[in-house]
Amino acid sequence: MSAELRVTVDPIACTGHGLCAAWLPERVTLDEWGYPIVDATPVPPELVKLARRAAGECPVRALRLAASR
Amino acid sequence: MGVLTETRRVDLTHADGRRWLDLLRRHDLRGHGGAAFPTATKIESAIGRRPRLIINVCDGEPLITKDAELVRRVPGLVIDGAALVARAVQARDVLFAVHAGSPTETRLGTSLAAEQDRLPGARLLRVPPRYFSSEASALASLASGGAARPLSREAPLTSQGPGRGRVPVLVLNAETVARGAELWLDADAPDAPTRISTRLLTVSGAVRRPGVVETGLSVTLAELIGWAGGVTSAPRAVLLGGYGGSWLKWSEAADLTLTPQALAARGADLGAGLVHVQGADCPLAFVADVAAYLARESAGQCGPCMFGLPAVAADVAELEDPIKGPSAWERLGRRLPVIEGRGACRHPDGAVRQTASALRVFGPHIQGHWSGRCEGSGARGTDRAA
Repeated sequence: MSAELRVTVDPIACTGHGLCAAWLPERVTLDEWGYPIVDATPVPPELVKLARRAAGECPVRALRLAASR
Repeated sequence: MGVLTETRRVDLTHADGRRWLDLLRRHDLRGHGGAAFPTATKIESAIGRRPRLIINVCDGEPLITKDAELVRRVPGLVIDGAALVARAVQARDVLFAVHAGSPTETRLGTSLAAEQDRLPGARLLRVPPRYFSSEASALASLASGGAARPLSREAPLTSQGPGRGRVPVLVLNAETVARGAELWLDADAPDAPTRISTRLLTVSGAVRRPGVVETGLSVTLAELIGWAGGVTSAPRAVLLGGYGGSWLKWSEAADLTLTPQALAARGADLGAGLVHVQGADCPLAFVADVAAYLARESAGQCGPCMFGLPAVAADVAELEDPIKGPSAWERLGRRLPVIEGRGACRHPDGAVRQTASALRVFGPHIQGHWSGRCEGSGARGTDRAA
């Protein structure tokens, strides 16, 4: 079985640009201050490409995709 | 009996790391800094990795003074406990984290200088007097020349080593290592009485003799308060653990024993050992001051803490207002669950937990304010936080 991917955020690196929520609303919403609230359930295969894009678009590289078994 | 009255010293020439760790496991010694993690497991994870050992002697909260009391009464026991850990893990260096400018810095510095033979090369790590500065990862950062601010969660904890590469860091609370030393002393003395597990608690608020009390865990909160001279007015509630702990109504807390199980059943724990009694006065000034303190003491690194805690503090300050109070109450119900679990350290989680428990315990009192009455005795704001 291949490793599942989960979205994580480095809370210190994050400065609340909010691009992640625009790219991946299925896993990321923003709080009232513009910081991401991440749903840590595994990213289904059809969303992996978008999740990678969301991580790649983060200006401060705070959004990450972590493999977990 | 207990660590504060211990007069014996550890014979380090006979110290046996493996046997000592077995003792810690058998007695289920857990960290006394607040997180209550099994100490033997933590130490064992560092064996073979030559860690930097940091003993945390910073009372991180304004009302807690147990680490200071420990160093005032039994500095040698803290040093012996550190020496036992240092030998067990073959620590590359040993640092005692103390608040810069505190009496503890002077006292421990003097003791260390006099006992260089017990712990060669050990030195003080001077920590800025901020709430978050004595958090474990903040100490690791400070020890390697960085800022005394918490780092993003990273396990195991590391620190920039001298030259190149990172070195593992082992952080233990001063009370924890002192208890470890005491267990070793008892094991070495076959005629020692059966050990009763004790803890250092700081009793504050509406009591006649506030201060540090060492107690077994089978006593009730009412008995503990009795030892602190009794209450100065009819108690409403008690804050357990620390500013990031839990409020309990006095009526549900008085007969509770201090065992982890009894407290956990009420959603509470002893944390870093604070027992703060709220007397008959209106509690809202104290609750608002604590919320403001926790907001001010955010390290300002993570958005949910940096923006969330000031928002919470502003809401809490409005709770007593008959006009603004109800909407502040509603906002808190929405904001508190959103903030929890989203910082690099546990600071925002503690703030959320304590505030939520204050709303539960003082809810009827707060609603009384909305209809223009306060059931508090005495002048409002006579019992303010630091």
